[in-house]
Amino acid sequence: MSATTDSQHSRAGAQTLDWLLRAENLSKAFGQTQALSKACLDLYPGEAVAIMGPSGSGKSTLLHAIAGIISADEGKVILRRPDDEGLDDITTLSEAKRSAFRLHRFGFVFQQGMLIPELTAEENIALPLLLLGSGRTEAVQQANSGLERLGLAGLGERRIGQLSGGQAQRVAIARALVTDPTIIFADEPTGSLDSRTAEEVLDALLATNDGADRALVIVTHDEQVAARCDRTVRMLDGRIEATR
Amino acid sequence: MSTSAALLLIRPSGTSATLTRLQLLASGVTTLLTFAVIMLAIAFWNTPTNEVGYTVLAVSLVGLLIVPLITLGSATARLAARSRDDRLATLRLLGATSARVRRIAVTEVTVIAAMGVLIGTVFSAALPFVLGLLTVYGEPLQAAELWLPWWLTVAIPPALVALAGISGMLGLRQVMLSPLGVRTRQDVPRLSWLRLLAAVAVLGIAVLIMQTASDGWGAVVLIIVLAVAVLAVMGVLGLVGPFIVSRLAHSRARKTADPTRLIASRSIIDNPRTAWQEASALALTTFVLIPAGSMLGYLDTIQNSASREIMTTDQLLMFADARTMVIALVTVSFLVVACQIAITQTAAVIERRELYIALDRIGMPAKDLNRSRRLRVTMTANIAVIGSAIAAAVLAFWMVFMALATAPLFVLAIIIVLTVGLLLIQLGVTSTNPVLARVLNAPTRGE
Repeated sequence: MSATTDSQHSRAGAQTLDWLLRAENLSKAFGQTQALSKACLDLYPGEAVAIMGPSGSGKSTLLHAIAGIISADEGKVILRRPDDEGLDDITTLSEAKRSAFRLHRFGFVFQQGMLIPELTAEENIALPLLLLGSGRTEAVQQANSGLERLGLAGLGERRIGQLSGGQAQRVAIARALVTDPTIIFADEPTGSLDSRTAEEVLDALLATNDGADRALVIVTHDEQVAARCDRTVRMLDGRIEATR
Repeated sequence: MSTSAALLLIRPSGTSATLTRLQLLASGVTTLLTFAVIMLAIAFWNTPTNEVGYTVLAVSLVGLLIVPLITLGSATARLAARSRDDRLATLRLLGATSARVRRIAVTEVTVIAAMGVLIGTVFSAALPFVLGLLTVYGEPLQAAELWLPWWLTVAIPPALVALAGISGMLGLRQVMLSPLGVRTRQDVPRLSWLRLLAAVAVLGIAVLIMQTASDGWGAVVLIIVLAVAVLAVMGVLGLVGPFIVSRLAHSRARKTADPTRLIASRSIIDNPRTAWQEASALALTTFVLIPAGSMLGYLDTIQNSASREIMTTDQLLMFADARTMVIALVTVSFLVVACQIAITQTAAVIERRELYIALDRIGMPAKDLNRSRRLRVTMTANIAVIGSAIAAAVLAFWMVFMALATAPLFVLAIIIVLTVGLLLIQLGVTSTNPVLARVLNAPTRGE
């Protein structure tokens, strides 16, 4: 993985053959605030990348822009198709197509999990599969396999409110994994957890990359979380300042 | 904390400004329709005839339309009070007591309602001229006949404002105000077999009353008995409705592979009472429309047959006026329901924005999000209409049977009208699609 400023981008040229996602010169403003300024980022298969920076530095905006949640004012986000069958420029897609893209290619884990409180744990995990057109039985079976893998066997019928914070986050990880996504995006996934639970959730999150060709992107304030990632991107005032 | 600090915090802005505008609109519409209903009722009451049916029509009109109007006014006030959750929590955090926060919220809701009522009252001055297009007792209504007595004109607005205040207060009783946030107290409806048996018994007694009611009882007794029967059955529906809605939603949630239906069903299970309340005005309209429409169909057959001779001129005129009343009843009810749906759905989108943003992020298309919201409302509305129609058909079995046999076109018309009502509800939900689009596209979504 490499993360560069605009001027540094050409120096990453040697790695362009196998990148999974390439973000080029992304800029985004909210009113008078320049949240993102010519940010470039490449993601490679199997890598875990931490994005760090103070509040308001643009790290969440960068994650949202490369995940197709928001559209950048300038720049490109290019994603390689599976089996190297071509490239897709996410920034040129309509809102509806970006939704479809997120559903098919990405998984998400957020600070509060952003799970659906009305649904049971297994329904939350099965939801992306149902949206993709899977049958109920198949979707629920896969959801329960996911719960089992994450040590939550037997909790499938529970509502989100009946789970602990750590359990809910592991449900969110299972949901993110259920469609076998190309990239998993996590925004402060351990932010609301105690240190022990945070460690467990981080273990589960990093394990999603074990033996898989997917990338993991984690936005975090926590240096300990960043230390366990393969690479750290540091942001300030909407710009990528440094990488490790 | 000083009052000026509190006022600063509750000043409407952003999404709460949208809700404030909605509350103003709903209060205005409620006021306007309340004046219209009372003017029409007085016109029926003052017809120069001794025909007891006119008295029944006048009282029924007020009785049947005031309920949905009160529902609309109170639902809006409740939602407005509850949707200020973040500000209320901040006030608690800053040291205001729970009682004081409630007083501030109720005051705000009441002041906005008063402004809406004032606007509605001003516009109601045009009503006598608009209602003049209608004919009662064979004559077009004269504006002079429709002006309300001054004491009534003065009494209605404060009554509506007081109702909004009380509703806001009751709405806030359902939420727990803490410095860390506002939570809704939720109670899942329970229905014991004893209650179910009581409901069946009430329905049975109502059937008996409806079958034995006659002119000979006199106007006052007839009105009271019919009103009690209708209220009792509506009470039964209000008790059984949320339970049935919850059971059916539960059954669907466990089986469906349609994610939009799954979310809609689970959402109903979470709060079946609220879901039922949204459709309760439609249930009332259906419940009244079935026997009223059947009776009109039967009377129409008589009017167009040789048996016309058995009807007096007064009865023939009243028959025409009953038709006017049913049309007014259905129109106002559907308008009220559509308004209520639009308001509750707007508030729901704003209150549940985090849920919709979460669903959008995982890739649920906006059209599916909207479909899920629509299903949540229509699933309940369908049950309300079908349930009320069955209850009404049981209650007025002979009337419905006679109408089916003698005037099937009237029965068809009733079905078409109810279908239009259900479509109008869908339209009410669809009208709030832009609110969801705004929530999903808000700049804060990227922060």
